Amino acid sequence: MAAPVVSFDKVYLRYHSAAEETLALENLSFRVNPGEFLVILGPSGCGKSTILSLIAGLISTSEGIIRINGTEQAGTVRPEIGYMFQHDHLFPWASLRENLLLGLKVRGDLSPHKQSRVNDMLSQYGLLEFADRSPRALSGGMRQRAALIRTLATEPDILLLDEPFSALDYQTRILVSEDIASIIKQEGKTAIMVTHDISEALSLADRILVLSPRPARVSLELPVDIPGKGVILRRASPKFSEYFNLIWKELDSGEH
Amino acid sequence: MNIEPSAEHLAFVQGLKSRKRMVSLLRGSILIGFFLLWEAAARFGWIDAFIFSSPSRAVSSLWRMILEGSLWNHLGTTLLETLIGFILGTLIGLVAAILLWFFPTAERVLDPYLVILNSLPKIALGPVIIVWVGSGMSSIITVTLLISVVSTTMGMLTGFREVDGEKLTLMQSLGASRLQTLTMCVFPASTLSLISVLKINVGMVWVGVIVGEFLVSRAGLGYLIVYGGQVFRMDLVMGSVLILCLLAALMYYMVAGLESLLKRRLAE
Ligand SMILES: Nc1ncnc2c1ncn2[C@@H]1O[C@H](COP(=O)(O)OP(=O)(O)OP(=O)(O)O)[C@@H](O)[C@H]1O
Ligand SMILES: [Mg+2]
Repeated sequence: MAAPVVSFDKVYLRYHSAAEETLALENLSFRVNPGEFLVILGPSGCGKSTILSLIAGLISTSEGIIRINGTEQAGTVRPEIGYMFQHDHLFPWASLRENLLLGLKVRGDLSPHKQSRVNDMLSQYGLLEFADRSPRALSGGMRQRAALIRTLATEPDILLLDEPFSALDYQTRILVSEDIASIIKQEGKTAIMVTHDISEALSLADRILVLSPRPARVSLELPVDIPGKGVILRRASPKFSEYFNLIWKELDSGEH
Repeated sequence: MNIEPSAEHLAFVQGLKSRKRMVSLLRGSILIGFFLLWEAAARFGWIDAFIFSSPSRAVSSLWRMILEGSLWNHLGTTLLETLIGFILGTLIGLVAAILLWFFPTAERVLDPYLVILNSLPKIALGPVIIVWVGSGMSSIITVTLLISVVSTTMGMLTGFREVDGEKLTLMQSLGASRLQTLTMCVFPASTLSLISVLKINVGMVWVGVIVGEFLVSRAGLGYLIVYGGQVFRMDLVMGSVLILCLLAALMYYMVAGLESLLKRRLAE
């Protein structure tokens, strides 16, 4: 088996405030393989965003070790990781193109090569005509695609997706998740997505980790093998509902 | 998308327009009516024109000053003081806000001082300023800074603090330094706060300049008002107040123009 891109080894995380201590992650271990689309599924408040913040180096573990491409994540932001949030946070005061170049600008790397790469993605993903306009001109689905391009612009190998579709309406969510999944596959990235939506997890994942309520532990690990390429075909497959029921039972038993 | 508007819509637009015309008309007639009434009251002896002056007397006293060439000096002095006070007050307040944003501990420590300073009637310190800074333009500008800097700092800091935390996380995840986060995200996100700070400052600095001139100066509109009051030339006082009103209106429209310009840039 290939070396994991990300590994968690007995990770604990506690949040501290004056009033109390919150144990968000308890003895959490898992690995992410190169090129896979891993979905971490768990009830709300169980610690999903915490996991992504740890990988991104925005916070540090209380105990345990996280490795990224073999080296320990010691709480620093790494160039090989891209983070995408629930809300697109496109800046209304800048043009779409300026928004997409944000990460490169931060790194002082606005080389013509990188810029033309962003331009290619703009045209490939149908946003070129909006490049010099404000992101206000974009629909919700387009905005989320733009946010993905902003994340891809710095050419990360690992994408962290924090419920990236939950702010969209149902139909857009399905269409955009289809788009985004295919973009990610096409670009050959490793993706780690967190969500509390079982259907969304099943329609995108190569593998699913089901988490217990807080403190998060892996309560079920499930490789997903559903025939049919793409979100819509997957959702139509009878195997989809088999998996769905399995996960539903697991989450339900965690509740009680 | 070129659909012929319905008759109902045309009537609606027509209604909007005529209402707007009526508002402008009423506004204008209040102004004209006020001056006519004042003038008539003075002419027909309903009020003592020596004490209350009249529009014609006020204007003719201004006209005399224009002919003598002395009005420009006073006007120029007041405008210069206002401009310097406005620019300096805004800049110093802004720099202070940025520094406090960079050093959150300092912000925590200084917070109660800022709040109390902000609610203090700083204009009351005017006489003290004269003693400390001396009488002249510098002490007038000091008075304007006294009343504009703290409110600028508070206003901008509030704006900085209101920026969505996830936007900051986004900047952090892109590896941005604190300076980059400020220039690329926090500052542009606070444009609305900047506008409201500028708006408040125009008014504050104006008050500061006039009060400063009351206290110390030998030139400026504030000086004219005080001087005219002392020698009982109410025509001069009222004339100066008229100019103040004009300038205040002008400033208001300038700031409103700036506001709509910035807002339009934001909304594009
Ligand atoms: N900065 C913090 N300080 C204290 N407690 C926190 C902090 N961030 C998160 N928590 C707590 O830790 C737990 C896990 O939070 P986290 O945001 O990781 O959950 P989540 O699974 O992403 O939830 P959601 O589905 O609501 O997004 C929650 O109970 C939350 O209240
Ligand atoms: Mg979350």
